[in-house]
Amino acid sequence: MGQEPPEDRAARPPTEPTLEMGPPTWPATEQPKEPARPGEAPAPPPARLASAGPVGWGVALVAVGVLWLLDTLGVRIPWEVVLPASVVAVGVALLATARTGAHRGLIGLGVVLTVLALLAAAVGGPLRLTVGERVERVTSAQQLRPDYGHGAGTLTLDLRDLDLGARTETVRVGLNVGQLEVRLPDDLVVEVDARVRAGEVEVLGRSGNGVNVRVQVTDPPGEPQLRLELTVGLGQIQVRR
Amino acid sequence: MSERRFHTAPLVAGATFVVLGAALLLDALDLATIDPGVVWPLALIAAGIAVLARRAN
Repeated sequence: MGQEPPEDRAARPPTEPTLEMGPPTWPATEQPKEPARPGEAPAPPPARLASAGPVGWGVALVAVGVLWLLDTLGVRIPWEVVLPASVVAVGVALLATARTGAHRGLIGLGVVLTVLALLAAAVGGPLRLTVGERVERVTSAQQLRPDYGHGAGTLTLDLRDLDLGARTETVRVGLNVGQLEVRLPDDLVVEVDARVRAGEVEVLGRSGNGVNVRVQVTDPPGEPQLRLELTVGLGQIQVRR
Repeated sequence: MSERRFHTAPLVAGATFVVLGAALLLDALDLATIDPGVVWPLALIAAGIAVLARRAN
């Protein structure tokens, strides 16, 4: 009994498993990129859908800034119309982007504009941006203006020395938040229409308080020479001689 | 088959803003009157709807 002859060993089929090299396999997270051909530019990355939020915020900030500047320069800006209209515009933009999903930031903008619009609605009438104490003393018909307005604070219209002569005048006074006081001459026949969205009204002895308060007085009885239309959003109206 | 998928948050928030803004606009134009006592509860409801819509998205 001896060793197997070499020529028999070579003829015997191999019993050990052999490692076969197959095609290369890539990790699941990577995909082989098809290399660009020489002279060709690589394919651009897929375009990202632009979000309407930053655009909306930018437009809103610029628009509010421009309108506020104009208001400061004396141009009458109907904020009570502009703000609700902008809320509607944001709502329409959200509905339009509901399918694409490019609405990020618009909801926050809508919330801010809605709060401002509700504030403007709460104070009622044209929204003014002036704040503080303001006194208007009028002594002649030439000085008398048809409109007086103030944002927040105290507005006093002193007409005690007013001499209208034979003229008849109508004056509108508006205050968003605060106290409006009107002082009248002793003998002038005046018709007063005073409205408060929420607060108190006291006109020549007649008073009322609550929500949507309105007091109309003609004193003394007769054809009025001065008509006053007084409006306060939140606060108080006081008219006395 | 085409995909028709709408995001809930902008749909709900957009509809809320359109309705609320239109109501405030009508009040500003004196075509309707909103009671001031109703304004702030409406504001809270609208804010709550917007928050819930964002969480549902």
